Amino acid sequence: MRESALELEKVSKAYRTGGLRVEALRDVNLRVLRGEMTCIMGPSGSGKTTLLKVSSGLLRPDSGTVILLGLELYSMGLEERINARRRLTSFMFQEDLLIDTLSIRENVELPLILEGYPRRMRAEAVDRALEEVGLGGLGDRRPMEVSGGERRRVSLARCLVKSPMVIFADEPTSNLDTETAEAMFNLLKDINKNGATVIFTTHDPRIARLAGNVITMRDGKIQGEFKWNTIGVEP
Amino acid sequence: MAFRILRTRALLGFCLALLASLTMADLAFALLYGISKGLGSSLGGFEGGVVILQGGAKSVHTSRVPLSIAESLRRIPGVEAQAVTLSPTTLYGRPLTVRGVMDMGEYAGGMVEGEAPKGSGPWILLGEEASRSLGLRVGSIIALGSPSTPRTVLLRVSGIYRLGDMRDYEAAVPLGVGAELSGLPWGMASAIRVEGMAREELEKLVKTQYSLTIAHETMRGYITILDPLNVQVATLSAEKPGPKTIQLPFGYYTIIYRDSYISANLTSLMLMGDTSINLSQPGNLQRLRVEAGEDQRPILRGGDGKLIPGVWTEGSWLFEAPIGLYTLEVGGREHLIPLMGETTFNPKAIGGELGRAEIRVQWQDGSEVKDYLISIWRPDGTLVASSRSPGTHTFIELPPGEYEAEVSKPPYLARARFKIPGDGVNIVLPAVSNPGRITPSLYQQLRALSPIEASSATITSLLGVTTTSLTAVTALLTILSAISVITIHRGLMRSAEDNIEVLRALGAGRRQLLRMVWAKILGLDLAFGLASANLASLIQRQLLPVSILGYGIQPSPFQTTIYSMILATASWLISTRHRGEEWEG
Repeated sequence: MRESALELEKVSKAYRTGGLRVEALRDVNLRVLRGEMTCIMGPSGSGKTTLLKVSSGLLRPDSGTVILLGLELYSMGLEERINARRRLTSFMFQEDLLIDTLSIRENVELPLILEGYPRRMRAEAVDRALEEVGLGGLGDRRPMEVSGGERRRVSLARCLVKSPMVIFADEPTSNLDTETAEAMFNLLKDINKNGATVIFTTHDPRIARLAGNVITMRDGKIQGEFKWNTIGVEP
Repeated sequence: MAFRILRTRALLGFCLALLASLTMADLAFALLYGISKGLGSSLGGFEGGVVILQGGAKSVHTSRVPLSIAESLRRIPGVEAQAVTLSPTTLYGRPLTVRGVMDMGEYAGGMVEGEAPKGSGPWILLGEEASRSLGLRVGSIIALGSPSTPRTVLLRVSGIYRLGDMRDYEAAVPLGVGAELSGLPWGMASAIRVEGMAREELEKLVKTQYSLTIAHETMRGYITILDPLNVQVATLSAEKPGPKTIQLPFGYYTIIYRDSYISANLTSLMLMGDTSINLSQPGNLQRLRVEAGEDQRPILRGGDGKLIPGVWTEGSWLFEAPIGLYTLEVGGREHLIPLMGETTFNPKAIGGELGRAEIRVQWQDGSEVKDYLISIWRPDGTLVASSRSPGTHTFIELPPGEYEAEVSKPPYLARARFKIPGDGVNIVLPAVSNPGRITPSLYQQLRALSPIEASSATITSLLGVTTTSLTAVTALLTILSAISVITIHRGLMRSAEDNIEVLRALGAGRRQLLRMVWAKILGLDLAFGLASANLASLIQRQLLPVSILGYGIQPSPFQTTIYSMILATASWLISTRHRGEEWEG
């Protein structure tokens, strides 16, 4: 039996906005196996992004346990958790979070700098990552000088440059046309095939169909978990 | 890369704003330092005691205080008094405060180069800081412009001193030179520092007029009262016996008697309260010195005809007798001598080759002066002759030479030089009686202040603000400039906040952020702190001496640098504090 990449047990998280308490996650239990490609699907405000951030160690839950690759994230110290997150995972943000004052190459290089890689290794890894996402010739451009789809690819290249064991991707295909969205998904699929566990969110059923494992959410709760192939639905 | 994470444009603006704000902060700090350290406590180098100033004066620089007060106070046991003049002059277009000093002893002890000559003269001592900023060495000749008069005074730098206070930023000259630079009338100083007497006691002493009652028997001449500077402050006719009372301010006075061929020092006294003296009271033997030749053998007889023996000593005849009226026979003539104190009789003009001169005395309006005493002095200050004259014209026979005639018609006094042989001299008695005497109203204006109050009064009069408000304003400026440095830091961090958040989202911990970004910003801060400290020091040297009344009091470059570094580091610490929003690490 395969080991768990991620386990959530009775995880809850609430926000307070404008004096109102919003329960983003309610007693969520979840298990993702290593090497799986899991899609979290649900409408806006269902708690998808919060689930990803809590799962990746970015956001401390109010209660519950999060175990990532065997490490109980929130029982660790802050610096220890940051180190674990940086070494084991990558997070592809919905907003890309690229630094406009740096070139595309330098943006992709950042995770390696944080890891303390030597300069030569960094250069090779960045070139490889940019090639993988199809941006081989655009390394010296600034993020503002490329299209929205290309920015997403830069963001993805930054995720995979350090070959993480788990990739969290928040709405990787939002605001992309169908063709570009499918291309982006295929890139994630390739990364998954190479051994990385990929957990991504979307509210697009067409993209969700392409993932093997789908978890649906509504109002901070997991409604169901199924595999498209087991119910005979083809993409 | 770290700097580009902070955005290139924002970084350029940050650097410029940081340099400007740190420089402003350094300047505000320097101003606050200058006021609190320099002016607040030691304007004029008065570190302790009490300062006597003219109450109505606009500042220490324009105050006028009678020098005779200092000379009198110095004669009181346990009291130290030092008169000074303070002149804000210019040298090579730069302001320099020049201090006229009565006693150079303290300066002589602090010499680092050259020496402090004794006595008055055209020399100047420079404070170490002043010599450094002006680039002057011992032996330099400088031309000082006086702010009060169109005159320029040429002085030689004879030494450089270090006293460790505000005076290191000044220059020191003999009191007379200082008075000339300040445009002060003769006998005046800017201020007097007094130690050894309580402030209230001192103020009461110098502001009060005391009565001096002098009793005497019949004499033919005048009783003259001199202050410690030998200025005649009062003259009384001694013709009618009985007590005479005059009002005088506090002081050490010498009472002399003048008559034909006689000048007698009767007594000296310290007037610190209402005082009576009796000049006719019998007492110890008094000395009469007769400036006659050994072969002339003067004969002195008492009122009863008794012969008083005399001895030839030190080039003159000396007699000793009790107070009284005597007859002196010398050169075939008889003179009536009232002996009431140390008396000198000089009949030398009587013998030898004589020349004749006419001395014409009149009032300022040209009218005739009747019945006055005329005294003839040699340039070395010895009395040659004294005579009572009934009319405007006096003919006097004296050996050839230069003389000074002094006409005394109480309360008026006038002097003029003349030569024998010559055409004589016209002496005009002024409309104002006794012009050398300081008016009692000036004594009434005098104030005894603490050094800080004296500083405060000067700042208030020159800048129109009180020291407290000036200190408050500069303190506020210092605080505002410090806040501006912090605000600029915060601005930079805000502009780069999203980029820094990206790093945090990518897993940058505190140590990594410190290494990648904050350490470089701290390096920038410290570099600009150093640059701003130097820039501020440069600006201070140009502007601050003007802004704080000619004194270049400022923190040392080391102090400014430390202040800059502390400010930059504090701003850095405050602005790099993470506010912990969406995610923890």
